[in-house]
Amino acid sequence: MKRPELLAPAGDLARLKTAVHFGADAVYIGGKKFSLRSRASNFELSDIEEGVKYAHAHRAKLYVTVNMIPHQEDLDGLHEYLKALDDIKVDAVIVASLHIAKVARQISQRMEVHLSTQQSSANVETLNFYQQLGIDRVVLARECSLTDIEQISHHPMAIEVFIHGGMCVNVSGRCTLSNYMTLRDANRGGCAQSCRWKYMCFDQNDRPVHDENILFSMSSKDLNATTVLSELIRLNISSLKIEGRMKSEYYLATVVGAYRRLIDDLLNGVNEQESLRRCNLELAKAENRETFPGFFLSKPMAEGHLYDKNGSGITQEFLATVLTYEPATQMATVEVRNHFSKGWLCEVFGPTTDHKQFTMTEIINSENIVTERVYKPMEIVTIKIPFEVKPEDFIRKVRI
Amino acid sequence: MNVFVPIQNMKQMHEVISCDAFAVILSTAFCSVKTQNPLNNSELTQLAKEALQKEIPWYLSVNRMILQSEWKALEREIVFAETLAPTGYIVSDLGVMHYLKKYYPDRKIVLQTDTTITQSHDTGILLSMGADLVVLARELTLDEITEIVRQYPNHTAISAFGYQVMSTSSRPLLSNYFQHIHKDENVLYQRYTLQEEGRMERYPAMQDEHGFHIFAPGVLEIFDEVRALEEVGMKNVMIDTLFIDDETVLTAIQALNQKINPDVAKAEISKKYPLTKALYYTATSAVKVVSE
Repeated sequence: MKRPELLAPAGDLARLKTAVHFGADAVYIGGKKFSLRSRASNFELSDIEEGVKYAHAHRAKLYVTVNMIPHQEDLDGLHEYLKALDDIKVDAVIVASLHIAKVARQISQRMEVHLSTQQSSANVETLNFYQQLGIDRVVLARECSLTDIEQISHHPMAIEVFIHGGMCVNVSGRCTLSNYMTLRDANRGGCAQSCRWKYMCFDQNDRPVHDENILFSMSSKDLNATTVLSELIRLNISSLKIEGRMKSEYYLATVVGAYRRLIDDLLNGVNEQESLRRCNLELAKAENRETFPGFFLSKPMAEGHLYDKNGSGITQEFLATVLTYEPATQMATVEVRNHFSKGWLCEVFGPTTDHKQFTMTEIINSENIVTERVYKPMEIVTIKIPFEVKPEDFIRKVRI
Repeated sequence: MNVFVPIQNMKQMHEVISCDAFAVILSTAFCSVKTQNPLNNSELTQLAKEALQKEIPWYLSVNRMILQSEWKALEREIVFAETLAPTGYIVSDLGVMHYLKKYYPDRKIVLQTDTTITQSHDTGILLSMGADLVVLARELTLDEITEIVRQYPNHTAISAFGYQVMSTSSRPLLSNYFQHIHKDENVLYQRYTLQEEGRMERYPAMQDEHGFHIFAPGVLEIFDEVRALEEVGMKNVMIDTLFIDDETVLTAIQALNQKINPDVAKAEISKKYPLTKALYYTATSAVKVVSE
């Protein structure tokens, strides 16, 4: 078995660093141009360059999404942009347009070209087609089952599979719900998630057939591939991808850290059931939607949808990141992200800090005043933690 | 104008031929989606033979994504279809296009992905890699279409009539919903409409053996625009007949072929269906801006 790449998203430099710190082998980001997820905090070229340097310094790779389906009016500056990405040593671009793929290949033999899931590749012949265009890697359609993936995995082309995060309920790249309903083009970064809205339903005789209290919705639960991860590793999948360039730093730290540990455990022969249990306990602390295994095991039935609500609420909250720790005094300086108070049960986690819990007993604010509560985001405060923690560890509240 | 028309039975075959349809599109349960009456092998055989006898081109619709685990079944379907000498195939999966071009190079490939083919560069690449005719994305404006057609007048087509698909899911969304609310509904191939709780429009929707499809609320009608596109060289249009009665389909074919006055056709059709220009005059490039 080869070690698969763990590929994480990032919406800005801080999140990029978090993803790398918590164990991502590669990070994908969106530039200001030619990228979907227009609401994500996309990177300027200078940020991308800094990201590349940071990733490479930490033995990680950086990929840039150039994955919009462009209209003619969107193509100005494409060559220059791709050339600039190559010049600053971006490892790969993720594209959805054949034209962009072709131009990227012409510009660089070094920079890899990955085909986005927006093209819904689900069979070997599709990979044969893209091989002719010089594409290096294909991100498979989320509709692929393990059986499909196993058969496709024999193809010499590298393949990438989504393992966690939000799912398009509709065939990716083939959805114009937002175009019609909001005049926004999902294929150009304007997805309004109309699939998650509520709809009344009528039969062909115009009789209402919906439940007034539970309207029809296309809203999907999020993907969680932990139960099939060992199988994906066995199939030698090149890259395992986490969705969510708009997700928070806390989400990334939790999800990347959990998958990093699970992948390593599986490769090292650690008890799978125990590793799975720990991983899912951890993932539950960051999820805001219910999850399910997507199409891996079977076509999703009703249990793959969210009819009553779109988010279940996370069970634990991100409070602060550790900046320094003084073992002699057991005092840590931390950067506040959300308000917290004395008496709260908290948990610290990091790449090498294993989910240790403590009760908040002492808080000193940035004015050096002992206080009961802090609430200003980004304030640097000092708290007592009765065990050693590391810089960049995360602290969250444990909800009981 | 070459009008490609989906048909489901012999009566429709004869009627569309009498209206000078250029080609007929046949659908089967395995290969095709967005049809209410897929053909079994016997029906497919009869219609294909009739098309050959009447010398009208016929295409098999393979208008869905094919999973690798379905590939052997697809090959069997194609082998059977080949015994009936199709003119070509309507495909939406680039792998299917690649396969057909490799093993059946004489067959015409019409590539209809509904979305994603949005500018001339991609169109050119797809034409150079196996497509004989490329159906442009439904979300393009008339101006954008005109520019692409100017470059590839003989090898591009548009959807010119009918309910426009907005989205397709591989999940059985209607039966999943009814299962969730414990309601017994026989949904397969049935027409439903959906109405978002804050809006007035009704979106037609259906479920077939491969998933769920939802459509824009009105029937696309661009008879005048097709004439304008004909002037820049466009020769091919597709029409969507799903949820449309036979008489209206014939009226649309005649209007597109300029056999009847388009204004008369519009007046007739609008008595039965809400007409729309869909996105032909509406650019959908807006994005939600979030302050940094």
